[in-house]
Amino acid sequence: MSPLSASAEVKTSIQVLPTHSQVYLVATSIVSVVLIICGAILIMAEHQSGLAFLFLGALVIAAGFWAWLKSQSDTDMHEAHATQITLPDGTSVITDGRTLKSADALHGLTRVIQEMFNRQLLPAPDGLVDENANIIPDSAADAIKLTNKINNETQSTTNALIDFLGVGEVDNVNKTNITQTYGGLDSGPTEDIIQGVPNQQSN
Amino acid sequence: MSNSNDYTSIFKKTGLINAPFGTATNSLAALMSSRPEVNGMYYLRKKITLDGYSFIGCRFDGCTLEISTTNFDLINCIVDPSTSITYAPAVLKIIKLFTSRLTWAPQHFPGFVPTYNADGTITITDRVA
Repeated sequence: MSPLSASAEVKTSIQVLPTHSQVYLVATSIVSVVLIICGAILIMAEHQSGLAFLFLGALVIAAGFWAWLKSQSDTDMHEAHATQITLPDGTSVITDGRTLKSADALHGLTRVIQEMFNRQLLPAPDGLVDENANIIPDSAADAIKLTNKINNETQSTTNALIDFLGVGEVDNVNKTNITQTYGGLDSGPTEDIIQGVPNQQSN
Repeated sequence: MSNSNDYTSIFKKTGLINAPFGTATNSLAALMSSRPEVNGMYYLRKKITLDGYSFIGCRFDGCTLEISTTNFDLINCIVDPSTSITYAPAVLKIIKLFTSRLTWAPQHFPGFVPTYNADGTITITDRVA
């Protein structure tokens, strides 16, 4: 290749633009600098009104800084990656990290989410019982009506929570991962486990 | 309900309950914080997941109760002997830890005890080998 024909062209385009929360910060900085410069010029010209410009400039800086502190964490996470919370039973929730700002909030939300996603709709009951646990005759219809009300409210709450969290994906494939059953007609009462005393030993 | 107070204080502390959208958020926090109460129901041969509910004064005859977490309440309920209870791995681990010191447990509660290793240690895990 002839050196004369050799050519190189490098085009560089650099743009320095404020993004997200920096926009407000830059705007207030410019305004305050202009006010301070005006104030300085007026003071140099022996105009006392320059002090007012200086004061106003300082005020704008302070207000801008305060507003930036309050908003920058959320604004700068505009393109944040989703946060995935995985519960012990395998349930996972993918949500926006901006929801979770503290350990307490994370802990509380994890508990709420765990409770919500493990909750199943109630089956149709077979009646109501009185204070002595006796079955109230012909109460099945009322019991079903009450259960439907609970189920509807539960469903509404779940939907509201999903909307609030902005949950993007729910994976609850391990719902059936249940391993051990105790009690029933072939075994002793379940209370034995809690008390730590097997009914077989009492014989 | 204690959970309600816990969650309300958390949301207040974190500012979620005082968010700009105000009333809706407050309502949501209240909804989220309450565990639905099931009062005085009678269940016969039904499969019921206890998680997420407070059962108060209920009676379960010949049912199958499923438990995946400790997020439930049974208050003044009757669970008859014919009702079976099915435990998910997370709950099962707690039971296994409890029975690990009961020498008679392996004989009477197989499946509800930890793995006793030859070196005297125990293993309680839901990890897939």
